[in-house]
Amino acid sequence: MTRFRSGRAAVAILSSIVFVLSILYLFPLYWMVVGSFTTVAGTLKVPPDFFPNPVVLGNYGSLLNDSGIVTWFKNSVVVGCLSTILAVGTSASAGYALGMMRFPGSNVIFGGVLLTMLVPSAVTVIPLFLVMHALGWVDSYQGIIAPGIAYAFGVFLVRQFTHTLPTEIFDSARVDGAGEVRLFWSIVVPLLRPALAAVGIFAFFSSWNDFLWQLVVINSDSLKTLPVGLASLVFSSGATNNTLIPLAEVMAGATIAFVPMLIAFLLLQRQFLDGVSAGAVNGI
Amino acid sequence: MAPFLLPFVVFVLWPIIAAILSSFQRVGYISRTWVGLANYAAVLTDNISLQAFWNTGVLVVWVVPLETILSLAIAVVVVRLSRRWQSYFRVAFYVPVVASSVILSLIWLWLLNPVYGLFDQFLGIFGVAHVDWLGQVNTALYAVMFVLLSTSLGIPIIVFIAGLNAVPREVLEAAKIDGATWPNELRYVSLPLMRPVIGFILVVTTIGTSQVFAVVELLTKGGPASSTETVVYQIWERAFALNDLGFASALSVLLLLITLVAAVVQVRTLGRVRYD
Repeated sequence: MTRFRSGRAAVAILSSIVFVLSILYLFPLYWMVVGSFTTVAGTLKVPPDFFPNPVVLGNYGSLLNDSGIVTWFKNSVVVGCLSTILAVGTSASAGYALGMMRFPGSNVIFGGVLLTMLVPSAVTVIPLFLVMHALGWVDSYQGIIAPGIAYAFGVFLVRQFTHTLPTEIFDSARVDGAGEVRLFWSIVVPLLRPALAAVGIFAFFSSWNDFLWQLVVINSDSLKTLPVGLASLVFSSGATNNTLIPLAEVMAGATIAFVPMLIAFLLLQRQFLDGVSAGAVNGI
Repeated sequence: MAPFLLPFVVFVLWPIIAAILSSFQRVGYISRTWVGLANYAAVLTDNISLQAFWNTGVLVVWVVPLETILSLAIAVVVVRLSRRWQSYFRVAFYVPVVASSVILSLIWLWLLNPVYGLFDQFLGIFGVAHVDWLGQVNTALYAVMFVLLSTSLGIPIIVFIAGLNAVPREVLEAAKIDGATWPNELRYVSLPLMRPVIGFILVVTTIGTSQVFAVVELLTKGGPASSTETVVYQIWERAFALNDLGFASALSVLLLLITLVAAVVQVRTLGRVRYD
């Protein structure tokens, strides 16, 4: 990065401010972990302890015994994995077709995909629910997963990525007699791997963190996912914003939902962060 | 194409069309009757719905500029730093996004508690007495806004950092040789080049903010006295608590229209978002 003479001192001061901001920004998550290891009395203490004293595991114990957190976790994993596999599959095939092939209507389809990305997902919650009702999929795994199969953002990402691929490879493979299916599996998919990794990560996370749709489509306890289950932990206490909420347990549950995602994010941060900016920044 | 097109049509395209159709109908699970504009008339004369549109508007008007300006300011500073610090900041600001708004709302439910919440005790140091931020008509919406800001800076910051890093080196070198100071470089070189990126972020944050649901459902349930009622929360209540699907569809279509108009205006004023 080019440095400007007048900028040095200013950068030092401003970056300290940004650093403090980043700590404040992360603080609620630290507080969640602290709360999860604190006694119930400790979470209500004024002034609070900034490190749990004593460190207790009781919240996790009672959560595992009294709530459905094991089921919620399992459901979130199953739903997340299935949605990811399906979304990656459809994004790979459709993104490749839209990016590399010219066929009648391809521009119309891509335009449609882009437009649907602008439609707030809340707009379609009701008709989607009616579709699931007609299919008999309300309160089922299929019902939770189905809306994520056609992942417009994934198609968009893959289609953009195909423009960076060398077309000569495809031509020479065709000359060598590879059929379109063979070409797709042995050449296109491996080349698309970075884009597909990003699509997979986003599909998994949006499923893991989805709230509105899962709240709408899930009725029975045995199908609850982590977000829906954690919310029910708050509401089953029959109160919002008062002392009846089992705070320490809720914090333990939130920590259980958060930690796997944090680990995945830290391991895959490149794909993650590059994926976030991929759609927005090009052509400057 | 087919494995994508079939679910795309059934689960994405058709629901959008169906939402528009249902907004002109009285909708039951089995039968539908055309009622013309009756649902819209009902929405526009319903005080809670109007309140919900107003509140959503207030949220967008505050959160979108604040989020954009704050994250742009942070990004502008961060791109000056070494690679290592850049990646620290990208990760630090993105972690709350990974945690999701459900988890953060649960934490804020505790932090904002008027008796033993940390936020209140912190303000107590400055002599501010116990305030039930989420429980008062005149503060609840601002509390929701604050929680939203505390969860949503990650994506704009990442995008702005990438955008600023994509400004060609030669351009910056040239500015430097011409004696440009840092503020001048930002004002005349980097930020003008960033216009499409800023436009993209404005559109994305507008759509995101107008869809607020989890924070409201978990922190206030629209209360007290409808003061944090938002459009999406109303859609959910009308459709699934009160079973009025036609009314809720009219709300959805109005939300769609308003977001699309806002998106078009923002993109037009700031330059096109380029897709290839």
